Amino acid sequence: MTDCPDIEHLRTCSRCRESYELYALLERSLEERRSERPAATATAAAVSRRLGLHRRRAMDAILSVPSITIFISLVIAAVFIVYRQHLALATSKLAGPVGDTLVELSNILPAALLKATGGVTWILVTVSVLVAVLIALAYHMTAMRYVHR
Amino acid sequence: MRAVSDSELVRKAIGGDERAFARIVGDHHGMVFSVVRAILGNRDDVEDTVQDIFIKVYRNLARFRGESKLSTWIYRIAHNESINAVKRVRNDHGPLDEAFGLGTDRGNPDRAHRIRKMRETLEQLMLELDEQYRVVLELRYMGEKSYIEITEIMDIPIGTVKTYIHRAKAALKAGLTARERSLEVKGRLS
Repeated sequence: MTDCPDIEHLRTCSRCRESYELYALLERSLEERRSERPAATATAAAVSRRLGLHRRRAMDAILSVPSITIFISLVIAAVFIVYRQHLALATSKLAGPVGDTLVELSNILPAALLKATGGVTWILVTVSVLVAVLIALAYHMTAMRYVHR
Repeated sequence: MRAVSDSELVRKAIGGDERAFARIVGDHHGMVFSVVRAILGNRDDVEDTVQDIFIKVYRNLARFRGESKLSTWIYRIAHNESINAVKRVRNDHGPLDEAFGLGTDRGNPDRAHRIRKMRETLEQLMLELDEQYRVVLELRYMGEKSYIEITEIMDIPIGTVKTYIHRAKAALKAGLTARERSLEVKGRLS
């Protein structure tokens, strides 16, 4: 295979060879500048952080899940309120030890407190709401840790 | 991966889909970075400006009507924001000779050293080019865009893109030749 006239000329003409080499170096230098470009994912993450998109997503989660928890606790409380007589009876009959404990608890607690809280059933309602609030708080703290990470 | 149209991506991003917006950033990052580098040069605030542009893109997504390509729309924002960034920060590039280290270079550089020096020189020479030449060149080399893509992004004919690239490279080559000659003279004198 014979070289094309241009390549042959480059071999013999130092000026053109120099010019060609400079052109090749220019091409290579231009292409090598790409390495200075940061990764798109890093920029996307930084922009997302600055816009607070991940915070917004976490806030959505914070707002939605506790809402569900509070809703469920309210439903439980409503059931207790409406059926408290039946539930108190069922608790004492079915959940013997628990019912006994509650009865003992009601005996220990001052009569004024029982009157103020509306009796053992109301204490159960209060406990269920407190548990729901604790669950919501625990979730909130976990989500906030994620936000600040 | 399924091809998603510009409008669909924009709609999802407006609706709070973070992944859709990350894809918009990913798809146009090379172009935006190229435009910013072309206008600002190799400055420390290039990445900050790139982020500012994408933040502006996000906040204005609702204004994208789909009348042009998303890349063209983002290009216009990138161009305007880069010009504003230039106005905000004083261009403090030193004299060419100082940046090239002419005072310390003793000539006879090996090839690796020559390339490194050439890249430094190139950054300075790029700044001396007309803005449209710089943008086209950066889109081509830094952004790895084809002629057709540059045509769509900048909304200019393909012939103009080719002419700009040819002229930009010719100007850079002439600048590099002049620089090489000045180094030779400097070497002989020392």
